[in-house]
Amino acid sequence: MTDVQTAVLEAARVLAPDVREITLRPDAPAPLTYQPGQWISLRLPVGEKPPLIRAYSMATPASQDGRLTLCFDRIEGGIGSEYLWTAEPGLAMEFSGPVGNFTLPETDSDLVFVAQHTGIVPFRAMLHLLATDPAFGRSGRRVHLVYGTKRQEDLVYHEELAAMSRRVSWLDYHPVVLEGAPLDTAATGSESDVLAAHAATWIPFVPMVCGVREFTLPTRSFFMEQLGFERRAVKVENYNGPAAR
Amino acid sequence: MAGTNPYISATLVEKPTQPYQITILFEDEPHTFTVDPNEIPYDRSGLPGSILDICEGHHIALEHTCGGVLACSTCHVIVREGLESCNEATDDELDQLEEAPGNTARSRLGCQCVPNGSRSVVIEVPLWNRNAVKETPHD
Ligand SMILES: Cc1cc2nc3c(=O)[nH]c(=O)nc-3n(C[C@H](O)[C@H](O)[C@H](O)COP(=O)(O)OP(=O)(O)OC[C@H]3O[C@@H](n4cnc5c(N)ncnc54)[C@H](O)[C@@H]3O)c2cc1C
Ligand code: FES
Repeated sequence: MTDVQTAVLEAARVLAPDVREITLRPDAPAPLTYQPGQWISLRLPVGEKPPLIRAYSMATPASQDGRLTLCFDRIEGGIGSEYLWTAEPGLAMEFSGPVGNFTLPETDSDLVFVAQHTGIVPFRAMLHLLATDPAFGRSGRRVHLVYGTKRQEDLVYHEELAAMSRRVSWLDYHPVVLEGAPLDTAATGSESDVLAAHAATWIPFVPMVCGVREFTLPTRSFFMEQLGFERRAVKVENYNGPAAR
Repeated sequence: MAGTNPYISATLVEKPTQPYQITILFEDEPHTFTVDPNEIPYDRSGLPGSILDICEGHHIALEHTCGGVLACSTCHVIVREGLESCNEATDDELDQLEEAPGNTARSRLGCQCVPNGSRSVVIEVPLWNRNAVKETPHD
């Protein structure tokens, strides 16, 4: 059986009307090691047949203090995320992992990260790691980040990412919102508008896409059909499963 | 091949219309029960009527680290009998299965494999995963 570990919910903050960030302090004596992009599997005491298993990506690289930062959407009627939305600091939690293959690829090429809503979470961890890696800074490689949400207030971590893109020369940040007049740096439109306008000029690169399948699969198709990528050359992390039809 | 249209996020499934028998082999013991189409979905894990859904409904704790959404391979099972009555694996499922230790031609992900009920099926939980499976207490 997967090793089950325990942790305490140490802190929580609301980042957007429906997005919350929580910090877990695992009880393990040594800090957990993981790659940005990996995730843990929470075992939540809810549902008809608890534990309800739900996966969440880490929003920061592994830290020396061992804390795990997660960031999630509150989904209407979503039994796991509704539970986490109201969970109070001090709560004991169970989890397994970290696991997952959606990690920084071994490549000398540029990277294109495409995220919708909380699909930004694993990319944020990767960007924080790259920002502390002097070798990456010197490599001349670039990261193009396309990050879209419905409304400006849903763009979590936006200020931080905008500041990072001003601080480091390698980050090319494209925030985009579907609705409303753009405030500061976010454009109005969709992720696919940004990709249609720019992606061809970014070649060669490794594309990585994260979010719900309704978003990730058409985005993968764009890279395949418009830019000639092989299906498996597009790295995808899906937050939900396929529906039955 | 199924699932080659990358736009389609849904999996083609033929839901069972009649009761059928399923046997889960683990810890050298067969666990046999009848699947009643009217009880599907048993739970909120995996495709409705999937091997994972059925296990959850029958107190068999099949590992499903990602929550049954085709993002890991911990729910790997081998369909010993009745594979032809199950939905076809999509390319995404086959990709994930490649990560599973002991992957065979009869391997499926328990959260994605849905028998259509036209015959009985026999499912083996592979050796490497047997420790991951336990019977949960009945209510
Ligand atoms: C590898 C992996 C990493 C993940 N990382 C994160 C993360 O960092 N942050 C995060 O918010 N979620 C993440 N998820 C999704 C998370 O595991 C849960 O599926 C999500 O919180 C919904 O659970 P629920 O029980 O509330 O909803 P459920 O009752 O399971 O209902 C889910 C329904 O909501 C829809 N939906 C809408 N938005 C989402 C969404 N963002 N995620 C999943 N389903 C959605 C689905 O299509 C589905 O129909 C991840 C999933 C995987 C597999
Ligand atoms: S439970 Fe993760 S793929 Fe089936």
